[in-house]
Amino acid sequence: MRGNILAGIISIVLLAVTIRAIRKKQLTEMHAILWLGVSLATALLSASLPFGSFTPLAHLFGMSNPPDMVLVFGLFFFALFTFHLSVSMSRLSAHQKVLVQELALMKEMLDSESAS
Amino acid sequence: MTPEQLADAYARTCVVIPAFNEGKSIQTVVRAVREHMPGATVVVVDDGSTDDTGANARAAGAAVLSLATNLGIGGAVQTGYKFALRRGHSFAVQIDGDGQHDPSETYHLFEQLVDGDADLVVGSRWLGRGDYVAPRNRRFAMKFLQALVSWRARSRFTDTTSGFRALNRRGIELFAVHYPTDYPEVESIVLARQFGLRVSEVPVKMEAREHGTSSIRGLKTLYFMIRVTVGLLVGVMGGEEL
Repeated sequence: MRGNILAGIISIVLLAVTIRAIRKKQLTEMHAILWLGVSLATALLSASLPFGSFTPLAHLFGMSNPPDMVLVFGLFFFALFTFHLSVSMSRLSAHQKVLVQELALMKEMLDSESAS
Repeated sequence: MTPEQLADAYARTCVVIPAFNEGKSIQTVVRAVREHMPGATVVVVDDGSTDDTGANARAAGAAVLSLATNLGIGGAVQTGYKFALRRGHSFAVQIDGDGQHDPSETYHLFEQLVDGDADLVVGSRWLGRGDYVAPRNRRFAMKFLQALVSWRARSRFTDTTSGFRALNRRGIELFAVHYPTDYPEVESIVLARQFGLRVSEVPVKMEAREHGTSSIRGLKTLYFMIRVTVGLLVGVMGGEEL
């Protein structure tokens, strides 16, 4: 029972933080949708825990305590999401490289024009 | 290659000198390049130096591309190739800004380029000229890279980490678009081969560094080896075959 309460609290906090960030426009649309989806999914999952509808599924995965499922899904999501961040960061640094290079080439062009 | 052909090639050449905090040696390098390669455009890529590298290079008569942040050697050298591409240079030469490469040796690199026998010519320390001796702890790494690159590029290369090289327009066009970011020397040889360029090595003499030490040492050597090995095995550009 305590596990259900903890899972419930975590998902409510997650949902609240996500909504707050969306209202303050701190997240780009794609990330907003992603987090909203995740927090809603966790909330639904924890809310349905007391009715035991996920208990057979949890037992299928060898978990005797159904709230553990929320944690396992959470971990899986975080692994995927960290990977996604890593990809985004690589893409950003590639973009930044091009910008720094273009800036240097343009500065040189301006310098050589003003010198001649 | 006649002396006239060489002079004509130099007049259409862009010399790219990547430099990070080389304020002490950059002027000597730029002057030596201008002396030994008359008519060539000299461009120093100042990779976010915090010293007077850029100003000193300009005072010695080089064009300077100042990068707003430090991109590392790959991003810096590529900026020089983009410059050469846009200015319509037929040839480009890459020389380190630390005085390790002797510009009077450049003509060795041009023989095959001018005769149209190669697209990228790498100056090698290990083909008999000069008496450069590698520090003992590096020999294993160098041997390992030789074997790996020779296998991936399907021909023998001895000096895979050499940053002393010359390329023709085809090479410039490739590297202005595709150039590895970290430790680009090794990967760029394989990359060039994957894109069908003819790559060859010629013997050159190399000096010990004038100032500073190699940027690759200590734990960085380990990272360097892992990074390059993974890069070469995975395939530089998504594993295209030759």
